[in-house]
Amino acid sequence: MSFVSTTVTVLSLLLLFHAGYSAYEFSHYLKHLTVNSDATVPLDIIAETIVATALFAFGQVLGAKQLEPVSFAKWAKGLEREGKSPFAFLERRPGYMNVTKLRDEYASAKK
Amino acid sequence: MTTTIDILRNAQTTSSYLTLAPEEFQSLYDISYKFVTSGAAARSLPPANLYNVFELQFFLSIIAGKDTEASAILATLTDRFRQDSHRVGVLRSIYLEATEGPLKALEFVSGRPDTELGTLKRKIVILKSSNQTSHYISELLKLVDNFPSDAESWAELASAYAEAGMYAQSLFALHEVLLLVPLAYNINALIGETSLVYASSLQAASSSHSVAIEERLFEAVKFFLRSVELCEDYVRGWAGVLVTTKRIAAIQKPVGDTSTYKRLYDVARNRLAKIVETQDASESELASARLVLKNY
Repeated sequence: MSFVSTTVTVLSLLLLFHAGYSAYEFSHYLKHLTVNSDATVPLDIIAETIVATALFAFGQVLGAKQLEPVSFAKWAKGLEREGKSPFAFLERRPGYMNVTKLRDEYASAKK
Repeated sequence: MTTTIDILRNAQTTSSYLTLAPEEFQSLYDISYKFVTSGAAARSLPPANLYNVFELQFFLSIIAGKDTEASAILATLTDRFRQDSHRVGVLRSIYLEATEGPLKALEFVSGRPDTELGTLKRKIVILKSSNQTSHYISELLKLVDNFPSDAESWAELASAYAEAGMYAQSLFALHEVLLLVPLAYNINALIGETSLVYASSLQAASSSHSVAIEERLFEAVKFFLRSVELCEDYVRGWAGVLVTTKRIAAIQKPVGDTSTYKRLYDVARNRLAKIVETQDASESELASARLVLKNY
């Protein structure tokens, strides 16, 4: 995760916590009101919650790993470049390896 | 540490150690040897991966001629999985073949159950070293009859046929591989290459031009194109397209329509030139792309 993504995520969590605490304070305040009121959660708390959630999602996406290609051909190209082809065994055929020949080749290369 | 694990896992899954150049093999051996003997492997890997690394280290030591090391790893694996484990059986037969000769190994694999694919393969390999190609092919045919879903055996059969110059049979075996592993772009390219060689052998046999040769070349292009469809910018595939379309263009009085192949030649040239220009491939592939561009 990059520095920016961590900062944004932490900031969004602080905001979310703040919004939550404000909502709690507000409910507390309502309890002490003697007049019957149909007051709902204030708009600024709702806005703060929405902004915090959006920021959190944004921060997480920023810190995501390099995305893998969706298309098989592009994915295969990347693997082929790194020498990680999943089909290479069909041409190397480890089950049929000629161990005597490999040993001889290694021994002669060593000399 | 992750990188070491990645290198070893990659070597194990792609069996790259079978085709590495001596220096690269040596460096892989050193990495693996250090990782296993320092105890880092046992500390950092879950059991399933740990024994894969041990198996790899066994192959590396036996190829490097370090028989005592190989024997120690084999003993560890045998203690853990017992003699009757399929993979331990394969390792033991390879060990015997390398250290005590094919006869001992043959004796060992003959005592294994008939359903054990790995040791059956070893048996065929040992027989190969003492017999001729025709015998080898007939043994492989018996094996694919009993295990028709083993792509590796079909691929081995294809290579044995190609070595014997029986290209039509080789192509059949490669098509069987494709039925089992349809996305294997390297096998698609190999079919293209085999068709191309087949066309050359037909041409050498009959000096005059024939429809059969042309059909082989058309088929080669088809499979090379399939390989680049499956793997973008696959140098082997584009090089195949380039070489084959050049051959098609050289045909005098072609029976089929060849105008598409002329266009394909240009496309392949452009793609290869672009790959070389942007350095968009591994070093060895770039070198082959340059060579093909120069000669065709």
